[in-house]
Amino acid sequence: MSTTIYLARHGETTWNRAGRLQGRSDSPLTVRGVRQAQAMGTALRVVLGSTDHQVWASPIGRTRQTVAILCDTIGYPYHAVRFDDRLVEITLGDRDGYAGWRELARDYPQEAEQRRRDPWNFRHPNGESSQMVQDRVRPLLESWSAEGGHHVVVTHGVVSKILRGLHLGLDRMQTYALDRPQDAVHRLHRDGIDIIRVERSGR
Amino acid sequence: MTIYLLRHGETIWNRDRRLQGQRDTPLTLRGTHQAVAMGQRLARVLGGRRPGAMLSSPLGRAYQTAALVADEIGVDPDRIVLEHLVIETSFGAWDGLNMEEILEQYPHEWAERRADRWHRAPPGGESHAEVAERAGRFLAAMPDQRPLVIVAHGSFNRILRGLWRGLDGLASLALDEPQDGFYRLDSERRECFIPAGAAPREDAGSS
Repeated sequence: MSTTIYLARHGETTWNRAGRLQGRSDSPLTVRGVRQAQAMGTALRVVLGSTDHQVWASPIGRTRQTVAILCDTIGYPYHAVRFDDRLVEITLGDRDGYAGWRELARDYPQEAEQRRRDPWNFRHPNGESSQMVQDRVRPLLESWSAEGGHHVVVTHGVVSKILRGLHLGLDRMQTYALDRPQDAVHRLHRDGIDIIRVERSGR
Repeated sequence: MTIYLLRHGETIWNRDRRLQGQRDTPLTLRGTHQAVAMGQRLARVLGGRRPGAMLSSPLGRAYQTAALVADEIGVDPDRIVLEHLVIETSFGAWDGLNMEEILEQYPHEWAERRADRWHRAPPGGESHAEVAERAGRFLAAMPDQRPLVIVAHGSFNRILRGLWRGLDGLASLALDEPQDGFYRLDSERRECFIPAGAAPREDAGSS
């Protein structure tokens, strides 16, 4: 039986809007983020139809919030969501919560230079590299592929890019070049990836 | 001094009829709509002006609600102050249980609490008297910025309103815990319920 994975990023948070780097730290959804989560749910309800599916999510607050809204919209019980630590966002370690990339580069120019030279293996102090994230999500992707069926996965920007890069067999630069929308869901299947744009009611 | 006292929107466990206490679950879809509706109403009540300060309980459900309200009233969410004294009552071992489970697992403790609701704490939890003590400390030390917007919880808010109005303990436990509107506490020590959808109605003094 083939596998289909619906990959969703959490809705916009207050720190997304402020340009702050969250990593494993957390901030709540904005009104726009709530609407995005609801729109993703509405789109998923249509594409899932009556097929059986399992919902997975990162246990961080913003993904919990997003999946709660998604569950209500698609009619899936929240208590059946599989929260998995392997889906948490890449952590910038000591730099989680920093004001932004520009500020980081200004305050830690040597780290910025190391990152520029080898972004894939670079880690901030007490942080993770992209390689480490790939190592922790690969087994998840493999178990979903082995299991078959439909899986809705609510996670984060970098984790989503790395999952898609693995799925498509992309190289590192191609993986980094992928987008991280909060108003679309990526459908990963045997033949590649579709993007499902969602309706978002504006303010 | 004017305080706008909000309860967080409906959560997963509210809907499941589970006590949350100091455990937490996220807002349901309905809960997010309630938060936005309260925010929109509050924006109209404030006449488009920003409050003097905005406080939130540190629990996720309150802070999520506060962030949505902040968006509607034009407050930068990073300026929301987390205030530990307004955290929800801890029900101790009962946090996360529903009524059936409490009666099944703690029949004795439940009976004891019913016999002295105000002073008797659930196992490992806070008594309402203890919550009133910290609510009193909060009122004594709260910031002077006006008006104050506070996003907190059902059980805690009843006790705060009781103190504000000068009610005795058991009378405050009879107060409601709406999520479809909020209370304005004014300098005459009155409270006024402001539904998220319509015109306000007033309640003064002790009931």
